[in-house]
Amino acid sequence: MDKALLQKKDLDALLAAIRMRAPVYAPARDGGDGGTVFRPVESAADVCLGQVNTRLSVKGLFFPQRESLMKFSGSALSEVTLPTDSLVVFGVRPCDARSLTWLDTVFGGGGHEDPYFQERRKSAVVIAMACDQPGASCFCTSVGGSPYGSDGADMLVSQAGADGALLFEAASEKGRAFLEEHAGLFAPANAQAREAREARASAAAKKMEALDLTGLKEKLDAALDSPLWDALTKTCLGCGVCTYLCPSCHCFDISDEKSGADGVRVRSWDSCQYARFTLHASGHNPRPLKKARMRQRVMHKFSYAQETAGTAFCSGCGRCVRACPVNLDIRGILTAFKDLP
Amino acid sequence: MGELASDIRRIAREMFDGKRIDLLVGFEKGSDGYRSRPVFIESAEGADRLTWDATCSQNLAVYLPSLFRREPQKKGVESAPPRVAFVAKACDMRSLIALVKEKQAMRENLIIIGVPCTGVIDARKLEKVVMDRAGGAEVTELVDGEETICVHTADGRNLSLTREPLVQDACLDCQFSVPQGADVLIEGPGRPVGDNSGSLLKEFAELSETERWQKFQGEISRCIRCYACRQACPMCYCTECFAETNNPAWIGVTTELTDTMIFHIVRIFHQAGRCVECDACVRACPMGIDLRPFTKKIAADVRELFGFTPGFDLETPPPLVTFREDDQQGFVTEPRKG
Amino acid sequence: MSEAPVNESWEPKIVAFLCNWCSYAGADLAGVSRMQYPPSIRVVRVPCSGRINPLFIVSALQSGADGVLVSGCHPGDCHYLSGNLVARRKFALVKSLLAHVGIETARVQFSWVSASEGGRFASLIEQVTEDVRKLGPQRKLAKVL
Repeated sequence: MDKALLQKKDLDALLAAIRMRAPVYAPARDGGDGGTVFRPVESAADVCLGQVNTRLSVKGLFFPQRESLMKFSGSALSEVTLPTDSLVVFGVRPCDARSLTWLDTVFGGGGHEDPYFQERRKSAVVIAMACDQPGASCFCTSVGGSPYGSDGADMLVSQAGADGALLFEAASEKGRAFLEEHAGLFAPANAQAREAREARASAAAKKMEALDLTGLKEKLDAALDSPLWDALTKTCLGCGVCTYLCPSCHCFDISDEKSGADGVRVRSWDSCQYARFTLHASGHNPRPLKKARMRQRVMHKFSYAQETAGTAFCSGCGRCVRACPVNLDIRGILTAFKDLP
Repeated sequence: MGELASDIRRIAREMFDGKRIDLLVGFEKGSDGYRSRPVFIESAEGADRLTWDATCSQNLAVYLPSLFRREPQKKGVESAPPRVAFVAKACDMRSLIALVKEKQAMRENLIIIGVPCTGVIDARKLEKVVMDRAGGAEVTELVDGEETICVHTADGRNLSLTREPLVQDACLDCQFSVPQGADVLIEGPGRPVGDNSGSLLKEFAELSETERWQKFQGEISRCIRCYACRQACPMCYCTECFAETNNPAWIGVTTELTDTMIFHIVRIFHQAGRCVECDACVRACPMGIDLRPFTKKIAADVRELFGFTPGFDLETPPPLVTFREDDQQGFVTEPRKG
Repeated sequence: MSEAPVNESWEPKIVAFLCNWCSYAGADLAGVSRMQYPPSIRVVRVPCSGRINPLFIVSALQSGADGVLVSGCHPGDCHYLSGNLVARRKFALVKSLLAHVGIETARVQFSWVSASEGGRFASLIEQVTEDVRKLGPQRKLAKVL
């Protein structure tokens, strides 16, 4: 079946059933200020879906901040530390789920398959949670997304009614198989539920103002030397928060950590916004100025990705806007270039 | 609030018209309606963008070192360093003075426009209150008042909130809310002197060693090593931070826990005698990590041990480049015999 | 950090940063005078206690040292006149900050030992070794790969 209803009271049973096979990650309380991050949960009570989005995107579950690649001793490889865990992620917003498909193009194909990412990705079940209340900095509809989108997810869940019932819609074979496997906990979704869902989806999308970004790539490509780059990025602190929180940013560094003769090669997140990101050993830095680094970020997401992957790499989740300590707003940057004559 | 903003705009225009400055660093309205953000103004026309209210929380002194950092100048053909004006709360001004003390700028090239402050709003406290009162709605606009703040949400609600509970923690302890000694001091009320009992530190110090370690480790384990705290801090201006050197590589670049704990311990240690407790680091952290029990410790120790508070005068040498013969040494180990 | 059981034969490993002119010479005097003290210290000779960067101390702990000792000339006797006086301020702050976050205070100690104080050096090491032995292996800041 590909659409089914789950009563709120049965969510615990569903989570328990899944946990017999794999840990379930869902947004859970983090810190004292109401923020959430993806963490393994034991029951429905641990799950916090009230926030617009988690602090960190779901990418960290597939492309961890720190990841051991291999262990070595002296100059001999002692172990390749491929991940073996499978996981189920629940409560992923459509913007985060969509970004997973772009990470798939970076890490998952084209002759440069990343086994670490792929191991996690292929065995995971991604359950997206639709957005009925987008936040003020959300702009998924401006970049081809939707608060009820299911790209990148195996299932989309939405609130079916005031009683807290959840509508599950399969979006992939894995999703259909999941619903079949747990069919006992679900009831079939009737026509009413489907209609209500359509109404909710369009209501949610209307809550965001969609920017018109047609022709943006061409404008950006023609404006590499524009003085706007400097004017718009003067206050950037180069802190890298935008890239770390972004669901589709994927730059990384590889370093060796040693203890005596033994060591581990680790991968960790890096950011093109750091001044030292492109620093050469000679001392030359091809991107010595802030404007060049922010330009790189915007060009990569809205021009180069279009060429290599056929899509812009921005899902409009708005985390970079909310978290930027100096409120640099990528929407402002995009419209400034879009509006260039 | 409105008068302070128009005073700032007027002063900015006068300075540009009188050719006294090349650049002014101030605040403008943010993009999400409830935040302000730093802005660089380069002409009198730009002065209309300047604003001032309780959302002007960033410490603008963070921009000073890079504005004055220049390539070595050829003798005889030196270009003049820029003349920069800063719109500064008292904490911002103390950072500016602390930076001038460390020779990051010439005092005569700096014009400090001092603005008295009644406390800035903590965006996270605001979001939490709005979350409790209006579900997951986000704030789209904020109108600051003296006792209450009016907040508009994305789903069309208007909330009237009492101002004081939303004020940032740093401001509750504030000892200096009016930037005395600014080159231009705008008239206005400052916040009454806050709690200086050091209750946050006392509470923390009363915990057992194990509890303190658990709290420290617990907070720091959430760190994602984005360095936002460092980048937002006006006093962190090293072109090569100890956390990123690879010869020697003091710490790893990943979120390995001991590396991350050492990053914070040493960054905070490097703030000794320099940190003005503005909480820019706490505000910038995307994970909402509470660094205050640790950042305040080093500042309190420097006050207690060396009687120094940063940011007031340019003459007193920084406490760690000087000494007194009678400096405390109760911490030194005396062998019990021999 | 996992609480692995303490190996019965565990002995404290203490990194000792000794200033060349006083403390290192004092340690040497203890040696030539055949004074016995526990073989727990690994000595790093520095020109002056003022050379000590707090990163040396935390780095030593991260490498697995159970304790760190920094020893210099007595105040007033520094070979470079004031290196130890400026260092004294740094050390006070480092000790206070580490204790504040929960690192046991006895693990990081500072002392003044002059070139002629061989016996004092030996007693110091006895004492510091005992202090660290009571605390067991240091696991809080030790990096485990």
